[in-house]
Amino acid sequence: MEQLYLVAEAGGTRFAMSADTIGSVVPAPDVIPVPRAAPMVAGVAALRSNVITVIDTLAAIDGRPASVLRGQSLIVVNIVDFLYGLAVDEVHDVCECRELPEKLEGAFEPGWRRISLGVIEVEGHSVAVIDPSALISSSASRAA
Amino acid sequence: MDDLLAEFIAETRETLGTISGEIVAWEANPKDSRRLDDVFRFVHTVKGSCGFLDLTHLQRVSHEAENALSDLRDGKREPTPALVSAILAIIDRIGEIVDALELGEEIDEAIDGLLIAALTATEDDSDMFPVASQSVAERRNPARSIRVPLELLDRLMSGVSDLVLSRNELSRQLRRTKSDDQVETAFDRMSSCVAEMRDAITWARMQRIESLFAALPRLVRDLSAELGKSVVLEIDGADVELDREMIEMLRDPLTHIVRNALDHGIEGPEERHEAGKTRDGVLRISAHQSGNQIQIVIADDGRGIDQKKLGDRAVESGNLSADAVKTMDGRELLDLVFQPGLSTADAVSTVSGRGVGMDVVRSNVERIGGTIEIESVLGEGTKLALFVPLTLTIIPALIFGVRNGYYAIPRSNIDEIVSLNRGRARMEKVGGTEFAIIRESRVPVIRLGRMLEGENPEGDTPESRDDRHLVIVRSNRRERYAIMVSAVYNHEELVVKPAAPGIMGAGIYAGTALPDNGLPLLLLDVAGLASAAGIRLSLSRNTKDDRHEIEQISAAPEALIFGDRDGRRRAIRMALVERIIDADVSQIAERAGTLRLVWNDETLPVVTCSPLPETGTVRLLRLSDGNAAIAYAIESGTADVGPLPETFEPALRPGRIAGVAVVDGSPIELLDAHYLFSEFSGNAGRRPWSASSQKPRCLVIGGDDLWRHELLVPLIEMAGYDITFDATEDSDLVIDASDADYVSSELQDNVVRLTADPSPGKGRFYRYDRTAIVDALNARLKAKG
Repeated sequence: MEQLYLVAEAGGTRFAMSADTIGSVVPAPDVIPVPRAAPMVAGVAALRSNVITVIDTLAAIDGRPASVLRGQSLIVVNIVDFLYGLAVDEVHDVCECRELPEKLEGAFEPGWRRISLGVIEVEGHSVAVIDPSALISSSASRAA
Repeated sequence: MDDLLAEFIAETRETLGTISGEIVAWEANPKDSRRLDDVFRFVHTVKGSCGFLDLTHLQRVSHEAENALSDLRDGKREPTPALVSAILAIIDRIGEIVDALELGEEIDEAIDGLLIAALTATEDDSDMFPVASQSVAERRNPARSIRVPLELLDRLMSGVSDLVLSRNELSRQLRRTKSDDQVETAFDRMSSCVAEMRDAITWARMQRIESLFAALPRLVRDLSAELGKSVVLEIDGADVELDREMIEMLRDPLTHIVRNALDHGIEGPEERHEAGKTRDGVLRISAHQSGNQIQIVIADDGRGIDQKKLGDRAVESGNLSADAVKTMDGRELLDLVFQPGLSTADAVSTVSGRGVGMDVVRSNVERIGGTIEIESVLGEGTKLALFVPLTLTIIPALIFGVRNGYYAIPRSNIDEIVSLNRGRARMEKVGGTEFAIIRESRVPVIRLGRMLEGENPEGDTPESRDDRHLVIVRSNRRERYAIMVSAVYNHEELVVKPAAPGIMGAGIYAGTALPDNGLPLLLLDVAGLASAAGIRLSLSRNTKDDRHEIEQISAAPEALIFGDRDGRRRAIRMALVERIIDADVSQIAERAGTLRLVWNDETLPVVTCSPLPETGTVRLLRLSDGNAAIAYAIESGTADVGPLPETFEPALRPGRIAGVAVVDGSPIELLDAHYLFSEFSGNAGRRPWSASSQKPRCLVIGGDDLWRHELLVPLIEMAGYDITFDATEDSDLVIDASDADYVSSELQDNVVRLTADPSPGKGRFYRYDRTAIVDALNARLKAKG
């Protein structure tokens, strides 16, 4: 079974995301900060008369304070009826992969372990596949 | 009953469409017992419903078809073409009868004998009845209502909300480019279409509150049996309509309140007998629309709530100090029932009293933008009143700024806005909590900027320019607090959508919206904000000495005092002012004989007392009486909210000005809102009564002069009455506004009693409850014929 993946880069690390869940990739408009929201939430932004929640992908992984700049690439995903923009540094390409992601959980750092589904081979490199819905879920599991 | 019939018709017609196909498919394959079962079930359902609805004729026809089908199922008869045709004919006939029922037509019963004969005919005489299938082709098409899945309605609603948002965005883009008349005309047209569609969808989603009340008789029956009590349930106003989403949201709170009333409120028969009450307890539930709010009242005649006990419990549980409880009055003590973990129930029962308390009820009601109030007299009963908005999705809200951010609060939560610059409030710090002293009442303050973003990095002092306004909000009549904000912008109708879990988890937001400026906006949850800031009811108290005076002030209606375009200071009742609009003059033009403002999705008649400038912006007040709206042009200077002066010198002639009062040494003219609406709102549909001299006469007794002349009389006249104030004259109807039962009770039927108390007792109406008064007048007019 062929599966399409979007390969993107944040904080110098490449990762892949199943293309099924992805609506579009847009440059970030003005991001309005939301005080007291979950730590990875950088804020909200307007996208074609919808309000999307902007997630700092790096902050979701390593727990740093969320910050997304205008113009940064947002991968727009729809998760349980809410639109999210996952901020990344760069979006590379869409690629096909025949194999299912290989589980390598023990090898990942905790932040990655929480959000990753495994590893795939893209153009000779190993790339972690991440699960967008884990990315947006509350930090409770990470804090514990 | 009509509803049941309509439902039966819709349901039968829907099944009919599919059933003919089933029966033909079954005829082609007689071994297919599943299809036969489907047909049988349909006929059986029709028969059953007919018995219930007392449609004996239809019941007989379907009964015969059911018999034949039953024989087929049991293998007693063979599915011959003649028999199948006869069954089809009966099914078509059911369709015809259903159509006739819907149109209220006479049903010709003569041909049914033949149809039934065809069913019972043996194969030999199959030619005695020609196969009836032509009626399918000529079936009338009277379907005036169809059934639509709720999901589709929800999708339509969210689609229309998106449409409104896109329209707003388009309007923003248009404003940036140079204006082109043709484009603007087209855009205006689109705007009005969108508005119309929004209304239609909102209407489509309206549901009678009956569906909320329908489960209550059973609940009351089961509970009273379980508790060994005898309770009579009285339901009133089941035809009030409400957004169906609101109905769902109210289901749990209402059930909880009813459980409480039965378990803790109403006593057992013996106890009631000893207390001198009837053995049967009474639970009254009523719904009632006033303006764009629905009021639901749940009242029992049980033992009431022991306020002292409530206070003691609050002290025991550590929620309040004994001293604090001592200083609280009855109302404040009663409001303690909304505190988490407080109950006067001595024992936990299977029905209620298990921790899920009134605090949850209250937060559920507040989540949908409603409020809840409680009244109780020990030994006499408890009354809970819920006020909820008509619809959830579009909320009028105030937008304000905090440091560099924007937020919004539902307008229904806002009491008033006080500017700190003008010294109308002063700040005080007691025990680590900040209070604002506003007209001698002490209100706890949340510094929103500090709460949301922490201490200002520049180390600004509290009195710095950042915090210049106090927005006084309440989540309940008694739980008031102030939010300190940097700037107050405008009122806007927001399409509010839920925010993502990561944002809602903060507990202080109610949702997100996209206002006209195109930047997302967060709607604050007033109750959540208070609990996040740790404000407790006990802190929100008036200073002791002058409490009496304060109550008077807060009971007085408020007025907006502004500079009018001719330079005079004028006032208008605050309740009529919906929002302040700053509009470009180009949005105002003469259309259909009067000045009109095109604003968002509507056109408003504009009232101005001096010509408008050629260019620039004009500030307008959007006034609304609940139905119609007009815009009143004012000077863009300052506008203050203050108590409405109690005495007015009435104007000599009726006109735009109702009277004049002196406030702080200078004269203020009060606008006559009834006059403005009757002159300018355009759709003041006067009844044909005015042509006839045979108008019934209405006598008005009591009530202060200004009010009865300026506000009450136009209402009565519009309803089609002549007015008299002379008690010696004959009259068809008496309006008693004296608050003292001036009219003796012999005239009960012809008396409408009004009171200045906003929560009137039984048999009275609040004197500004326009809808109720007009309804009462119309009802009595109709009763007269």
